[in-house]
Amino acid sequence: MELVQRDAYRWEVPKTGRMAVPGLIFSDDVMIEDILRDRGPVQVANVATLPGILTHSLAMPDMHWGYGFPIGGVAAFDIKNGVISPGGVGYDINCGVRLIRTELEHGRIKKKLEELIMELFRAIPSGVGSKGRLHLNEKDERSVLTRGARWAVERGMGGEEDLVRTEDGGVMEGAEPEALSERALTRGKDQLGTLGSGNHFLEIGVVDEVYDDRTARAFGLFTNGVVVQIHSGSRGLGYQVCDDFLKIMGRVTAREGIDIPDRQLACAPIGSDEGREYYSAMACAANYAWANRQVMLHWTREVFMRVLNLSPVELKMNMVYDVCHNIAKFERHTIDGKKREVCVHRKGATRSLPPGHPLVPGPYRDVGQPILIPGDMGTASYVLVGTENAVAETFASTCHGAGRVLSRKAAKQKAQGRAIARELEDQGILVMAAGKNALAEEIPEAYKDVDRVVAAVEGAGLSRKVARLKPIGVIKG
Amino acid sequence: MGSWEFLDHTADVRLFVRGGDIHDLFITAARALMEVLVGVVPTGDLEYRTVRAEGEGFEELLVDWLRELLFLFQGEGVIAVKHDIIEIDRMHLIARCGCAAFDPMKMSMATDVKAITYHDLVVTEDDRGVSARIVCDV
Repeated sequence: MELVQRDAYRWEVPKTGRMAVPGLIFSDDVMIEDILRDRGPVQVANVATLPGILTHSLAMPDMHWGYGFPIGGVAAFDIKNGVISPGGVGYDINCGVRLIRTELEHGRIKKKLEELIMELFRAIPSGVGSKGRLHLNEKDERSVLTRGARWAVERGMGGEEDLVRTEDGGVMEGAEPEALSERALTRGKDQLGTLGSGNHFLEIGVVDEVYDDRTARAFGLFTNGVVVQIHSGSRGLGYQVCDDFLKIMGRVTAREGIDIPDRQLACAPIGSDEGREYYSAMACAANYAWANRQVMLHWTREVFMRVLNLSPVELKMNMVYDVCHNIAKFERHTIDGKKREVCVHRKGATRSLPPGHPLVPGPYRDVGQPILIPGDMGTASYVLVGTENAVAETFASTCHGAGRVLSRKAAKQKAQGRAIARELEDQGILVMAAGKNALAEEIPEAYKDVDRVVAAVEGAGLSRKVARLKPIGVIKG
Repeated sequence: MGSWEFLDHTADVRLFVRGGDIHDLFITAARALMEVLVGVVPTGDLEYRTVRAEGEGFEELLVDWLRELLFLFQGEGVIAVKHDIIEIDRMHLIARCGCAAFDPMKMSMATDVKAITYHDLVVTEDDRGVSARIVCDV
C-alpha cells in the first residue's frame, strides 16, 4: 500500500475506492518500515469505509495488524448516521492500566523485593483460566456490572480518592446487565480480581527519569520512587460480550446493507436496537474491568503493608490514575468549527486530555490528564500528559503501549534455549510467570521500542513526556 | 487424518488446518484448538457432551463449532478431547464430545485464547481435500 508522508510523524493513507475519509498513521521513519511490512495500513483503509466515520481513520505509532480494526486504531463516528462496532473496541473491553505511587524510595524495598513479588503472585491469581478469590453471586455480579470500581470501594477495597483518579470515576453510565448473555455472566462469576494472561502484568517499578517536574509532582511521582502498575481488563466476561455481539452484528450489517471488507468489522447503526444493546453490554464489561483492577489494587496494598510492615500513612500508596485503552465512548468534539456528539472507538489507544479540560479530574485539572504507557517487561514504561493538539487532531487520543513487532510464534523461536527469567534477573528485574509460554512470548524483542513510540507521539504533539518508569519486579499472567 | 500448522500473525494465533473432507477438517480444527489451549491433550476419564453449532456456510459453522469448544473450556472447565461429529451440513453440526475436566495443577496451560475471530477466515476445497485458515485472538 502506498502511503504519503506528510511530515516527520504523519503518513496519510490516501482516500481511494470506498473509503469515506483518508487514513492517518502517526509513526517515525524507522517504525513505519515495520508498519508497512504487515497488514495494518490495509486495516486503516478498511475502517475508513464504515458509515459515518469522521475526519480520518487514525492509527497510533504502536499500531500493528489486528483483526478487523488495527491495534492502535482510533475512529470516531457521527452519532446520527454512524456505527458502533465491537471489533473497534476489541475482545478485552476496557483493557487498561492503573498506576500507583508510593512514598518509598527504591533502597527501602531492595531486600524485600523477592518476598513482595512472591506474596503478590500468591495474592493475585494469574495465568490461563485463572479463577479469583471472590465468587460473585447473581446480585453482586449485577452490582459490579453497573457500579464498576465503586462496587469494590463500597466493600472496603479502596477509597473515594481512588475513584476520583480513575477514568470516568471507574463507572461507565448506561450499563444494563440484561444485555449480557448467560455465558458472559457465567464467565464473570469467578474471575473478578484476576490478572489473566498474555500481555497482562503486575509490575513493581521505580521512577527512572522525570522530564516535567511540575506535572510529575502533581501526579505524586519523584525520581527513584517506587511505583506499581496493574495491566488487565474485563477477562472472560468481556471476551464473551464481544464474541456474542460480533455474531449478532454480522446479521445487522447484512440487514442494513453495509458492505464491509472484513467480517470482523461487523457493526450496527449507533441508534439501532443492536447498537444500543452492544453499548449497554460493553459498559457492563468496562465496569467489570474497573472493579477488577480496583480489587487487585486493594490486595496489592495489603501485601505491601504486610511484607514491609508499614501503615497506609507511611506507604502513601495512592492511585496516580487508571486509563482504559479498549473502549467506545460518546464524547463531544469540535469538527470544522462545530461542536458534535461522536462515538470514539479506541482499540489500543488512550485518551489524552489537556490542562483545563472539564473531564480531567480535579486534582490534575491544572496539569492535564495522566496517560499510562506500559512497555515490555525488560525496558521501560512512560507516564505522559494530555495536550490540546490531541483534542484537535485525534479526538483526544494517543498511543497505548509498545506494540508488538514479532508474532508469538516468532518470539518463542527467538527465546528457544534461552533462560529469559535469568536474562532479566541479570538486568535487575525479578520475574515470576504463571504460564510456561508467558515469558518466551513476551520477550522484550517481541515489542517495538517504547522510547520511539513515545518520542513519536510527543513529536506529533499528541501527548508530552512526564516520567519514565523502570521495572524491578514483574508478575506475568 | 488431517493436519495443522501455525502461520505467523503479529498479535494472534493463526492456524492453517487441512482435512480429507469437511468432517475431517472440523475434527482436525478441534484438535488444533486443543493443542493451542492446553499443549498436550489430557487423557483420563471422559464425560460425554452434545455440542451443537450453526452458521450460514462452512466458514461461519467452523467458527461457531470452535467457539462452542472454547466455551466448554473457559466457561465450564472441561476440555473436549474426543470429537465425534454425528451430523454436519452447511448450516448445522451436532457432535458428541468426550470431555476431560481441566485441572490446572496437573495439566499444562498453554495459551489463553480470547476468541475465535472471523478475521481472514477461509474454507477452501481442492483436489487434496478441504483446508481452512482461522485466526484466534490471544
